[in-house]
This record gives sequence, structure tokens and C-alpha cells, in this order.
Amino acid sequence: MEKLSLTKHPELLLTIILAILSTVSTIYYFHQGTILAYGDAESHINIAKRVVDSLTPGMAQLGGIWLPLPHILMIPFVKWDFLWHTGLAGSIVSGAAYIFAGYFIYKITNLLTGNKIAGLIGAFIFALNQNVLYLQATPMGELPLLAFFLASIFYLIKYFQDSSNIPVLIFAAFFAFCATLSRYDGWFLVLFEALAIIIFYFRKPSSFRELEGKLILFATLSFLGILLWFIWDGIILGDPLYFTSSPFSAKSQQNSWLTKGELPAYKNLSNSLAYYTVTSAANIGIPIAILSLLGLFIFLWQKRSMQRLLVILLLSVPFTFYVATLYIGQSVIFIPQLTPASFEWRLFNVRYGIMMVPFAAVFTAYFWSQWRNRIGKFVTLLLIAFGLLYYGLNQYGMPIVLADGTLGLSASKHPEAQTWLAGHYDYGLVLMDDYARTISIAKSNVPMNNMIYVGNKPYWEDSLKTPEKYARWIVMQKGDAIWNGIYENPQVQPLLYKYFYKIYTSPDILIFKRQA
Amino acid sequence: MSYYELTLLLRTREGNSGSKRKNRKYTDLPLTESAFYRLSQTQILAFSLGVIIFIVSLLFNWHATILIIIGGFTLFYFADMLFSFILIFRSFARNPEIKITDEALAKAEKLNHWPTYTILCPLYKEWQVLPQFVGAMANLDYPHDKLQILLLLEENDRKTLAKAYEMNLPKDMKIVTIPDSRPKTKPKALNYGLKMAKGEFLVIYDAEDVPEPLQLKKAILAFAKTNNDTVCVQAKLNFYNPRQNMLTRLFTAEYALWFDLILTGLQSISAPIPLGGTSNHFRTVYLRRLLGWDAYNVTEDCDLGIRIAERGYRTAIFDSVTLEEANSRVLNWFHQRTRWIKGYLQTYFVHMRHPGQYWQNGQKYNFAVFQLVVGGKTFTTLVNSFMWIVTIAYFLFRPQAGHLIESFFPGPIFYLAIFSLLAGNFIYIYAYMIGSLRREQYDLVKYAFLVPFYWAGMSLASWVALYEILIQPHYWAKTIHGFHLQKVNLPPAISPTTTAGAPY
Repeated sequence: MEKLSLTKHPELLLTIILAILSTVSTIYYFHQGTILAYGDAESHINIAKRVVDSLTPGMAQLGGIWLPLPHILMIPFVKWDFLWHTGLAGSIVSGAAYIFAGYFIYKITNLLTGNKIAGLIGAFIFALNQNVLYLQATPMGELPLLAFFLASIFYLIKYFQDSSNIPVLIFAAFFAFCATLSRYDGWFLVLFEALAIIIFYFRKPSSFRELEGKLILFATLSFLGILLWFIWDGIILGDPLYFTSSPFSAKSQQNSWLTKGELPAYKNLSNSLAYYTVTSAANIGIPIAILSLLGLFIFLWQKRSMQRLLVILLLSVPFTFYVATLYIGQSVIFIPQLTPASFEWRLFNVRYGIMMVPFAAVFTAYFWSQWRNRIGKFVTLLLIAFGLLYYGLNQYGMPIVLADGTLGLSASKHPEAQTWLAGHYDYGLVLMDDYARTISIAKSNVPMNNMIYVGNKPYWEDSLKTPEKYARWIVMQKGDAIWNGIYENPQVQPLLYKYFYKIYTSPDILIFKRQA
Repeated sequence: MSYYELTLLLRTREGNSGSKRKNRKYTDLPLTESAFYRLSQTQILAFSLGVIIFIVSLLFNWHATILIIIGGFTLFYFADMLFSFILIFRSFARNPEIKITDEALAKAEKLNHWPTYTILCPLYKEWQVLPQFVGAMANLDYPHDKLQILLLLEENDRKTLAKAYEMNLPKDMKIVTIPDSRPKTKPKALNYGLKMAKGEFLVIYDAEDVPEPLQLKKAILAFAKTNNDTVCVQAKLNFYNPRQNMLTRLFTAEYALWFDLILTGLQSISAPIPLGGTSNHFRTVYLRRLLGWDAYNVTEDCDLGIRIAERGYRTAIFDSVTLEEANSRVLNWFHQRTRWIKGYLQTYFVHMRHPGQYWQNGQKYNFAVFQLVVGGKTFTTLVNSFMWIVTIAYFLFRPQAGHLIESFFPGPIFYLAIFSLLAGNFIYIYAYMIGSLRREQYDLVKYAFLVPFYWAGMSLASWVALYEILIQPHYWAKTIHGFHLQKVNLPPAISPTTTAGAPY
């Protein structure tokens, strides 16, 4: 049997190295205790956990706001409490997505340059990015989206190179379908991919029938995820547009910033452009961002073909998406370089910039591949290495995405009440408004199937009227649904004091326990 | 045994009509291996036992019984969906159909050593398409001195006979009159033709067929590329009137899926292939060893395909197309579909008479595929209407019946059912699209969205087929051809108007 040579199979070598990098990085952040640094990270893992372990388990626990695929992928792992408590169930999914994404950056770069070493350079620019290395250790949804996004783009570029190859068009549609079920950025991706297909055929009016057939084939699968999400929200939550109209949606959150006058990019195109450009550069690092722009210019300069324009259009979809959503007020980013000092927070959602790292990786590698002499190649490699170490635009002494998760508004809260409950909880059901993120469930020692939250509808609704019906513990935070519905509700409050006694008090959080 | 069956049996074994010609044996298959009997005694016993168990279970605990049955249906749907997905995937990944290149053809042309070939064309009341068929045969690129074309006409079909004799038929085309006898089926005519066949190879074409001119040569080369155990190569079927109306569009998309994805997928896993009704090319000697067609089976093609696999032989798909007429009239389509489903049911019952044999012959794998392809496709077509009614009822009468319906779908069954409903229906609709694209019939892709209506028609046909198998199992609902003649422009080479003075 022929010996498997790693140098002859760079894909295999790359996969092994990526797996090692992913594991080492995850172990590092596990020991640092930052896997669940983001408040959202724990929410993601909790959603997956509730599908299998909850008072009312089932797929309905996936909810209707966050797209479900990353949570579905975590389900096989969250069954083990250790993987849930630590967040490692999410790290496994993000880690696998990281390997997948790195692999497809290699494939895309290789496709554009015809050079396997350039492919490896592109993959490593992505894989060694410190922000990427941190996020791939967490349960956040960015890495799964990136993986599907890159796979879809790769197959679509392949299709543009040989339009008789129907399977690659189906693969592009399938991964786009997965992307649409991972994050809302994916919805923009499929729109732009469909647009790219139209542009591709637009040059040849004679092939209108072919365009019609191929576009329908692509769109039927790639848009299916969006349709399913509307149907899901309609059936489970009674409103197909629940994800955008509910009080838990991003739009509602952005409205609260707007009323405070802290939505600087809203209806301001230059601010929207500036915010996302700076955020992307902060994620990529200034040196590599510059190299990638040089690569982009050369890519366009050499041959201004339609295919090249389509490649740029597809790889820059995240840029268009975030600029557009910042402009219409559907998303918000705070970054110290641009956010006024008068704002309550100056670091929030900077991880959105990570979506442009593949763009930078591909075009930086492209830039490297265009050097004819070794010195040029060597100097470029040195600059890349420097760029991977020095980021600029980051005063935190740690990856800016991690800084956002530990120091910024994205960070999860760890109030003293959480430690107290972890030490005193014995048994019984706990009533808590999880949406208000009063305390971390994963770190509170309470089994998930002992929690009553808004997703356990019959238990939750009954408990707000008759708190003693199920709960042994009640955890409330000033202003949350339980505080307003029970503590401040004159009709229910007497029941609270009749059946429960206050066992923990802090300025914001109160904990009640059932009387003996 | 019914009086009808007894009469048939007597006629077949001894003859009772007084005519010597009618004493001829039209099938060499033992009746126990044919669809002459609907069910064997063991099958009747097993079926009766099943019905009794079902009734007793219903009386004992109706809810649990229905729950178990729905659970079984759901599992079966899931298996069927998974299997179809694998077939479609493998059809792409392996691309298993035998391709004959121009170079291979040119090389063979130089050798110029083509074997003798028999073409069987059974016709019944199809005189309108006869000129078209003569044209199509004239157009075949094959040494005509090596061809034996047998037009198999029924004695009682006087009009077609008269028309055929009126025509200036080429020398290699011979009219064979089949004595009036029952059953009046295509396979009986084919068996009659097989006895007269002189060719080393043999193919069946329907009267309305227009095969690719090089098809016979390609078939010879396809056989040359296979082992001796490949006794049949099947050309792909398509239509010359796909855009005549909505029905023909959907029919065309269905054929594209069946021949380009499902059958090639089956080939890729070396599974039994239910043959298409025409353009099956055989090594004649093996066809005789297989005892020809089952005269009592109304989808003799499917039955023969399964028998080929059962006897350890193989079928392969090769890259050549025969154009046919897509059924453009709903009622005509419905009768044809009823016959096909009835035939699949017959085939299923025939080959399930001794299921243990699959194990003894080391064909467990073929047994599973047979269950899914022949049994499963028929079963799901039957059950589809029931499941649709349940789904629609759930949404329409949710306040009244919602809880009851939900109680039949506990957790795992519910998720499996939902997944099968969504993914299964999607995969099939998508597969219709892929099939159309593969054949570069781009404008048909969008019609795949209407396929559920087509399925509804199929499901209705399956219930009529079930009824027919009880009442008239061997009745062959003749598909009427020629509706396209006024509406579709055929290529000049095969147009009926150009064949009157065929040059041979």
C-alpha cells in the first residue's frame, strides 16, 4: 500500500494542523475560563441544552429569534453536563467549523491562484488570526456561518468556471442553505449569490432558459432555510416575522439604543462605512488588511473579467451586509476608535469584523502569489507574520474579540448571587427570567430541567400567576419579567410572601426560597 | 381460484377454444412464477393472519394499534427518502451509465462486424403511429441485412393489420400475426416474437418509439464493455412532445428523474433494475434462459428486471435515448399509471412468494432493494393520500382533532415524520429539477413545483390499481398513442410523411 505522504496531500496536512490549533486554543481558553465569556455564548449553549434537558424538552426550545443550525449541531454534545457547564459542546462545533472554514479558504485561494502554497498561506492567515482562534473556542455562531459561507462561495466560483457542473451548483446551494440557518448574514449571502448567477448569465442573453433553470435550482434549495424559518416562527410562535418583531429581537434592542441617542451609524452612510471598516481592520490587523487591499488591486488590475468581479462581490458580502444593517439600525457596533467617550459603552459587537478575515486571507495570499522573485515572497511572508502578531487598533493586550467578551458590553455578568446560588441550591424548580440573564444557569449548579423560564410556557405562565405552584426557588432581577410580574404585582406579591421567604438580597437581585 | 382464472389456466394448459393455433403456449414461465395467481397459498394465509391480527389489535387497543402502524409508515417513509437520496447522490458521484464515445464507435465501424439483431415491436390498435415507427426503423444506423424487425400484431386488430399490409414495408420488417388468445397483453406478444427471433441480440421498441439512430451499435458496444453476466442494457427514455401541455411537462420531468437519477443510482449499487417498457436490449440466448416475459404481468418489464437480478444477472443503463410520446391526456395517463402500479403490485407479490430464497441465494441486499424500489414505491404511492389527508386535517381541524392526531405522533415518531415530510417532499421535488437540468430541459425545471398535484393523481391511480388487481388482474389498459401527431413537429428524418418511399 502506498504510504500517505503529507507533503503530497497538503489538504490533509492542513486539516491536521488546523485540528491541532483548534484543540490547543480551546484548551488555552478553557483554562483561562473565557469560553463562556460572552453572554450570548451561554445563551447559545443553553438553547441547545433545553432541547434535550428541560421541563418541556423538544425542538420548540430552539425558539424563534436566533437561527437554529448551530444549536442543532450542539445537541449531540450538550447531553453531557460537563460539556454544557464548560461550554465545550459549543467549542466542538465551532472548532469543527474552524477546520472546515480554513480548508475552504485553502480551496478558494488555490482556485484563484492555482498555487497550493498560496492556498496554505491563505488558510493560515485565517487560522492564526487571534480573534478567530478565540471565537472558534466558543459556542458563538460566527464560525459555523463562516464555514458554510466559504464552502458555498467555493462551489459557486467552481460553478462559474464550469457551468455544466450541476453538482457544484447544488453544493453551493446546500451550504448557502446551511448559512441561512446559522446567522442572518447568511440571508444576504444567498441574495448576493443569486445576483451573481444572474450577472453571470446576463452576458449571454441567448442562455436565458439556462439561467432560469439554474437559478431556480439554486434558489429552491438555498432560500429554503429562510422559508422554513418563516414557517417555523409562524407555527411555533404564531408570527412568521417573530424574529424581527418580538421584544427579544435585535431590532427591539437597537431601538433602545436609538432612544438613548447611541446608534451613531443609523441612517448615516459614512458612519456605517467607517464603523464596519475600522471593526474589520481591528479584527484582521492593519498590516494584513493593507496587504489584502494590495492583493485585491492586483487581482482586478491583471484581468478585469466578470468572474473576478463576482469573486470580489461574494467575498465582500459581509461588508455589504454589516454596512447595510448598521445603516438601517438592525445592528450596532461600538469600537473605541469611533465611539464617542460620552457613550455608556465603547466596546460592543466588534466580533462582526471577523467575517472579513477570509476576504483578507484570500487576497493577502493572492498578493504573495504574484511575486515572481523569492525576495518579494519572503518579505511578504515576513509582513504577514508581523501582521499576525501586531494588530494595531487594539489597546487591550488581548484579542479585541476577547476584550469585547470580557470587558465590553458583550461580556456575561457574574453577580455574587450566582456564586451564592451555586453554593446553596439543593433541589427543586427554579423560576427565573433567563432572557434578562440574571445569573448564569450553566454556572449556578441548577440542572437545566429544573429551570422554569419563558420557554416552558405552561409552567412559566402558571408560575407568574401562582408562583407556589411549581417553584421552590425564585430568582429575580430589578426590571425583569418576574420582578414586574410577581414582586411588583400587588395581586401576586402576597402569594410570594405567603409561600416563600427572601433568602438572598442584593441591590439588583433577590432570591426567594419556598417555606418549609 | 376464480372462474376467470380457472378458464385461463385451462386455456393455457390444454386449450379449449377448438382452434389449434390457440393451443400455443405463450409463456414458458411456470405459472407459479408468474402473475397468473395473485397470491400464493402461503401469501393468502399470511395476509389473512395479518388482517386478523390487525382487527384483534384494534379491538384490544385501537390507539396503540394505529400508533404502531403510523410509526411503521413513518419509518418506511424515512427509509425510502434516505434510499432515494443515496441513489441520486451516487448517480452523480459515480456517473455509472455506460458511455459510448465517438472514438469507440468509429473504431467499431472500421471493424464492420456487427452481429444480428432482432427488433420486436408489439402493436395493438396503433395504426396511426405505424408510419412513424417505420420511419424511425429506417433511420437506424445499423446494417439492415443484419436486422430482423418483427411487427407483432394481434389477429383481432384488423385495422392495424390492414394498414401494415397496405404499407410498403422494408424487406427487413416482417408482420407477425399473433393468434387471437388471452391474455391480450404485450408480454404475450413478445414471447411469441421471441420464439421467432433469429438475432444474437434483441430489443423491444414500442410503436411510437423513436430511438437514437446509433442506439443498436451503442448497445453492442455497451455489452462489450460489460461482463457476461450483464444480459440486458437499457437505453434511457425521453419524450418528443415534452411541451405539449402541463401533463407532458411533468411526465417528462418524471422520466428524467427515473432514468437519469434513480435507475443509474440503482446501477451504481449493482441492484435490481426494473426495466422500462421499451429499449431494453438483450443477449437473446440469456433472455430465452430467463424464459422470456410473464404474459400475465401488466408490467412485464419490471418483473423481468427483477428476475434478471434474482438469477444472478445484471442490467446496465447506457447513454442512448429513445424518444416516446408523453401521455398528453389525463384519462389516458391515469389508465396507464393504474396499469403500471398494478403491475408493480403483481411483481411484488410474485417475487415475494418465496422471500427465503433471497437469503438462500445470498441476495439479502437485493431483497432489501427490491422492498424499497418495487414494494416501497408502490406502498408510498398508496399511503401518500392517507398521510396528506391526516396532515391537512390536522391544520384544518386543529381545535377539534389536533390532540387526537398529535397523540399518534409521540416524540421520536413526530420528528421523524416531520423530517420525512419536509425533507422527503423537498428531495423529490428537487430531484425532478435536477433530472430536467441534466437533460438540459431548463424550462421544465420550474414545473417541478407542480409535481405534488401529479403525485395526487398517482396516488389515486394506485387505489384504482389495488381495486383492479382484485377484479381484473390481467386486464391491460391499452395506452392510446398518436395524440401528438397533430401538435408536435418530429424531426424530418422520422416524420411519417417522409417514410412512404423508404429506400429499402
